[in-house]
Amino acid sequence: MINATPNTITVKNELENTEETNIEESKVKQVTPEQLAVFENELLPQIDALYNFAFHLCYNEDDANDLVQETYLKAYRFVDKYIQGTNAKAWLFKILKNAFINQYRKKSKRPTQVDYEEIASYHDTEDASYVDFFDLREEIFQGMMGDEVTNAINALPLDFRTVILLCDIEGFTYEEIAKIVNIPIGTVRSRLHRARNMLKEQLIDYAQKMGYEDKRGQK
Amino acid sequence: MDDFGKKGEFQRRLVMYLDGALSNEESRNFLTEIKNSPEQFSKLQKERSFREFLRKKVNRRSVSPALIDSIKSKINSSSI
Repeated sequence: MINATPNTITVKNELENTEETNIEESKVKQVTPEQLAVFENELLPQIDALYNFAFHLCYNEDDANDLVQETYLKAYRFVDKYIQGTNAKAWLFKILKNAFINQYRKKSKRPTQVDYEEIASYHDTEDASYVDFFDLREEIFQGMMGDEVTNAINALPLDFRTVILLCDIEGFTYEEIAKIVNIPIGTVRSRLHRARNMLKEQLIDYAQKMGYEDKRGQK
Repeated sequence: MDDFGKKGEFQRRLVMYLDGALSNEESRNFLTEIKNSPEQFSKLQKERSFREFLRKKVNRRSVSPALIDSIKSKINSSSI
């Protein structure tokens, strides 16, 4: 149970992913008992989904723990911005995604992500590149372990991994994903399309390495 | 629309249907259209199976009680 006594805290506007344009909004505000109740009843219950998302972004438990904790502390600071009864899960995912982008990308010192949309759209159109997954024998894939599928997802470039996790694992709509990731809905669709194709190809490659034959294109 | 364009349009609607991005009416129309096409229906089933496969197989981790305690503890403290 969280202490329901109103707390005095310092606020800094960190909800938006505005690395260069963070608005220093230092001021004092109070978190009311009602807001604390919202935090406990609507925000904390989302912790399992948040943790899974964080884990797939970070690859390890310690970083995922830190990221989830940071997300909840930010959510608490800004709980007055959350409208009770609205989409708590999407709100928290957006905070987590921004925290990840701002801090963990820097920490990992990875090279800048290639703009895959730009490259891929140069080579093919969205609808011409559809990969048929289950033309391989379905039972092969049903026999795959969770680790193999998880590794295949984790091997995707970050931008593609993110939309797969949000849509196919967490069940967010295109519109919600667009808001969480801060990209247009059209980009969500094209990114999802390519992410799924990449994932299918990886799983097919894996199955082939295990000695299974690709039956696609055969009658 | 040529065969290539028709195939692309079908795939676009199939994906949107499974992603819940079609309206109720569009979904009904889509299902009515593929009802008499075993090939298209088979593609729908395969793609649906792929989504279910992902959801079922991906590793889900449990949050440690220590993390929840830590969050609550920090919130209760005046250090935020």
